[in-house]
This record gives sequence, structure tokens and C-alpha cells, in this order.
Amino acid sequence: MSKTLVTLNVNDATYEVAIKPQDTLALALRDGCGLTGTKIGCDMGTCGCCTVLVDGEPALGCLTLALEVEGRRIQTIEGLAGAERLHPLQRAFAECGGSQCGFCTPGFVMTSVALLRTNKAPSRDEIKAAIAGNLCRCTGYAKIVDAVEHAAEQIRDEDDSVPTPNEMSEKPETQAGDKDDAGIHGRRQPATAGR
Amino acid sequence: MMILPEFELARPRSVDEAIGVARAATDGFDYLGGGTDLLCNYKWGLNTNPTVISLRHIGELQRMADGSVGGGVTLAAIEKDADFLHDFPVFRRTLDRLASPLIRQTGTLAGNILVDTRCIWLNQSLFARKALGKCLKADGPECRVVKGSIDRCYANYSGDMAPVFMVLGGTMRLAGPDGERTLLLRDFFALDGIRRNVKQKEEIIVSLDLPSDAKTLRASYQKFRVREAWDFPELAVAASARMDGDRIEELSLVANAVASIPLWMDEIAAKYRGETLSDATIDAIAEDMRKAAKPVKATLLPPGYRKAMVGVMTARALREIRGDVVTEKQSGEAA
Ligand SMILES: Cc1cc2nc3c(=O)[nH]c(=O)nc-3n(C[C@H](O)[C@H](O)[C@H](O)COP(=O)(O)OP(=O)(O)OC[C@H]3O[C@@H](n4cnc5c(N)ncnc54)[C@H](O)[C@@H]3O)c2cc1C
Ligand code: SF4
Ligand code: FES
Ligand code: FES
Repeated sequence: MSKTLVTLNVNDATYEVAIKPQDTLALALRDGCGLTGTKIGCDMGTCGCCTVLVDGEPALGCLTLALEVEGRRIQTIEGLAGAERLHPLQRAFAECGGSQCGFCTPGFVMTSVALLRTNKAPSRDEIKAAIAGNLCRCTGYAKIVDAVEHAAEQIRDEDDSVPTPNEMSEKPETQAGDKDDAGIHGRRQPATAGR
Repeated sequence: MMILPEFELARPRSVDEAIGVARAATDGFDYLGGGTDLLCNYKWGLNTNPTVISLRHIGELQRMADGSVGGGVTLAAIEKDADFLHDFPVFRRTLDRLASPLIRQTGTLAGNILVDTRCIWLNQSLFARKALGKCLKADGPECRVVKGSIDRCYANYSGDMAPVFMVLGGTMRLAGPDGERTLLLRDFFALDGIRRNVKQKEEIIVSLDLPSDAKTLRASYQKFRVREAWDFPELAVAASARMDGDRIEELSLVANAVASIPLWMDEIAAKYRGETLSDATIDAIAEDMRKAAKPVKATLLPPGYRKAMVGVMTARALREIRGDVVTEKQSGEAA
């Protein structure tokens, strides 16, 4: 099948990516945009490693066709940190030991971003329910729940909300994605281009 | 990584346009809802087609109002609809135990009703299936579960929403090349793991609709699964009743995930209408349901155990309907 050049809006930057109809969003992000923070684990919807946000809602990158989210607002783990500091969830995962090998971490963090956006003070049971679709083979989950709980506290204490769409633009310039020789061709455009 | 096969992706904006694309796709097509079932099957190389028609961009499939839920409405959207859950509280628990929150985020109602039947011989990679030997449902000569069966597949129906809509008297609106038709959901399924239902290939599920008197039914869905975080049902029971005091005025029962379709147990339900919903009646209904369920070895757990658990789940559903406090792990219960 022939490739189509599509514009993906990722972390408030636009990427022109040549993709085939059957390419998943996870593949397009990794190979097309060079954003390899989004992991591919099972590739079958069972582990949550590939979780990103589409228009603010969590979506499994491995079961979402890239063409289906053309023009939608995609957020990946790379878009989370501010220029000077990590997102409270990223800090909490590091501080609480919520990440060991780290492979599952981007998925857990993105799922938790969506949770804390709608529930600023989740109980441990609510956290467990929200992350039920994310699997971790290392931590045993307790420290992940600790991390999300801790991050929620931090966010409340700092009176600092989970980044809103406008705050997202204070993220550092992403270097990846400039390659155009990948299996899926991608080229990052200035943040304003194509909008 | 699991590789998707090559296909063309169509993104129609209306039901009519989608049906038009389907009719033109003479080499074969599949509709795509949230893709959480279809794309997994495609990655396994199961019955793939060269054209995929996405229904995600069709506004008329996204409507939800007053007991009518569009086929394209996501399970997460149903979960968030306070009015719907207020009117039909049984869906709160059903959805809570259906797949994972991430799957529910994109999985749609129509996709759930049409979720493909599952089998331990089938839901494997192509590599594994080549090693194990293929089967009737995907390019093989005969069924591996019921050996010798060359014309019927016994794979397990594993959707969680259909049985609940069935016991609430739900209807389905279908649109196809010959126009629209509406049928009771209980008449939709056809007992074969390949054919599965009476839908014509080009027909699209526009909506599922609940009658307004369904709001006054008491209903319960009891699902048995191996993993609590998320899992397909190994078996489940849906029940609804209209009570007149402690007398059963109306009763509907479905045994789910013990056959290729959700089983509408009308004979058993009819036998107990008019009875008092006593412990003895509950035990009798549970025993009838247990006897009627005839699971085969298409899932992880042994069929004998699943059959026994149909009785346990029936009793739990009826106790919940009666107003007893029912938890997932009942002390003193056979399990
Ligand atoms: C990890 C995991 C766990 C799961 N657990 C469960 C579970 O516990 N319970 C459960 O019920 N399911 C489960 N599922 C299966 C599936 O995700 C859900 O059933 C989901 O609701 C399917 O919806 P979908 O929109 O993604 O379907 P799709 O994959 O898009 O489609 C499924 C089928 O429906 C057809 N279709 C979709 N929409 C329409 C329409 N409007 N008209 C006509 N045809 C249509 C498609 O052609 C396809 O044949 C699970 C899946 C995964 C990956
Ligand atoms: S029940 Fe038989 S035909 Fe159906 S999928 Fe399983 S082995 Fe194949
Ligand atoms: S890689 Fe997507 S859910 Fe596992
Ligand atoms: S930290 Fe290794 S899988 Fe979660």
C-alpha cells in the first residue's frame, strides 16, 4: 500500500509523517516522529506501555491507527516535562521507586496524567482502578500507587495543576523526529507550522 | 512487535457512505469501531480483509440519549453518562469489569456486541497456530475443540454488554443496503462461532435501544474471570426481574460465555414467573441454569468448573436482584 503524508500534532509541534494505512500511532510516533518514549510492549492492548493522550484522553498507541488521529492533539511522555523541571508525576515515580527497568513507566505516567486531570485526590483504590490496564513486571505496583498518590499530593500542595494545553508548550525542544530516513518518514515542523 | 497486514483505510462521514464503500469492496472488508478487537485479530492474521472501513468519523453513530446508545459510542462514554447509569445501574458494574479502562476508552458498544468469538486454539499468533495446527475458523479443515466438527465452530462468545441489553429487552437498529431494520437483541445471535449472528456483512449497527419500562427492572450481571484487573469472561450470568413484593412478575436470564452466543434462557425464566424469590427458588433456578449450560474446552478453565460456576453466578445475580448484599467472594459458596 502506498504511504500518505500526514500531519500529526504531537506535544504542540507538528510532524509531517509518511505512513501506511495500517501503521499504528505507536509506530508512527516512534519511527516517524522519533519520539521513542512511547513504548511498544505486547502490541495487543494488554500492557498499556504505549499509552499516549489524544485530545487529553488516554489512548493505546498500538491499537490506534495513525491516520485516525490526524489533526487531533497528541501528547506523549516527551511533552510532559517543563523546560526546567520534571512533571510532578515523573518526579514522584523517580522518588518513590515507581520505576525500575522503566519500560512500563511512560504508559503509567500518561495514564496517571489523565487520572489526575479529572481527579485531583484519588484514593488508592481509584488509582488501582485507573491503572488496571497498565502492566509492570518489576515493581509489584505498590510503589507505582505510592508515586501517583505522592504526585497528587505534590500537585495539590504546589497548587500546581497537571499541565494544561498551554502549559505544555513550555517543554524543551525535542531533538528527535528530524530524521527522514526511518521506515516511516517523519519531519518535525516548527510548532506553529501547519496550524 | 505484531505487524498489521496491509489494507486500505476508508474514513466515511455517514452511514450511507460507509455502506457504499462496503458494497464496492468486492475483495472483502471489515468495519472498524475502536479497533480493540479487530486490530488484535488482524495482528494475529485471523481472517483479514484488504479494506478496512472506519466508522469513527460518523456522527450519527455517536448519539446517546434516553436509553438509546449509538453503535459508535465508546464504553468510556457510557461509563461517564450519569443519566444512563442512573436509569440502568446494572451497567456500572458491567462496565467496571469489562476489559481495562484503556480498552474502554476506545472500544465501542457495537464493537463489543460483535466482538469475535474466542478460543484457545484460535487467539494465538500465526506462528503458534502453524505449530498447533490451524482450525475451521481460520483456514483449517476442522474444529480442534469438538474434534470432527467440520461445519460448526464452538468458540466462546466473550462480549459483556450484549447479555445485559438482552435481559433489559434491548433492541438493535441496523442500517444496510436495503434500508433499516430493528430487531430484539435476543434474536440477533446465531449459534455458530463463525457465523455468530444474523447481521448481513454490509449492515452497520446504528444503535442499541432500551425500552422505557426497562428502567423499572432490577438487573444484575455476574461475571467470572481469571484476572481481576481485566479479563474476558470465563462465564457470566445476566438476569433481570420485575418484582411484585417478593413475587417474580417477570424474569429474564442469559448464560454468557459458555457457548458461541449469549444463551437466552427463556424456558427456565418462564418456569419461575409468579414464584416467590425465596432461597429455595434461587437454588432451583441456579440448578436449572447449571444443567442447561454446556461449555466446551475453548477457554482457559475446565468446562466442568465453568458449568458449576454458572449455578453460583445465577444465584448471586438473583440474590442481588432480591436486594441481598452480594460481594464477589461469598463465604460458604461452592466455587
Ligand atoms: C486486553 C483486552 C481485554 C478485553 N477484555 C474484554 C472484556 O473483558 N469484555 C469484553 O466484552 N470485551 C473485551 N475485550 C474486547 C474488545 O476490546 C471490546 O469488546 C470492545 O468493546 C470492542 O469494541 P471495538 O469498538 O474496539 O471493536 P472493533 O475491534 O472496532 O470491532 C469489533 C467487531 O465489530 C465490528 N463493528 C464495530 N462497530 C460496528 C458497527 N457500528 N456496525 C457493524 N459492525 C461493527 C467490526 O467490524 C469487528 O468485526 C478486550 C480486548 C482486549 C484487547
Ligand atoms: S472452537 Fe474449533 S473451529 Fe472454533 S476457533 Fe476453536 S478450534 Fe477453531
Ligand atoms: S503495547 Fe499497546 S497495550 Fe501493550
Ligand atoms: S519498571 Fe520494569 S516493567 Fe515496570
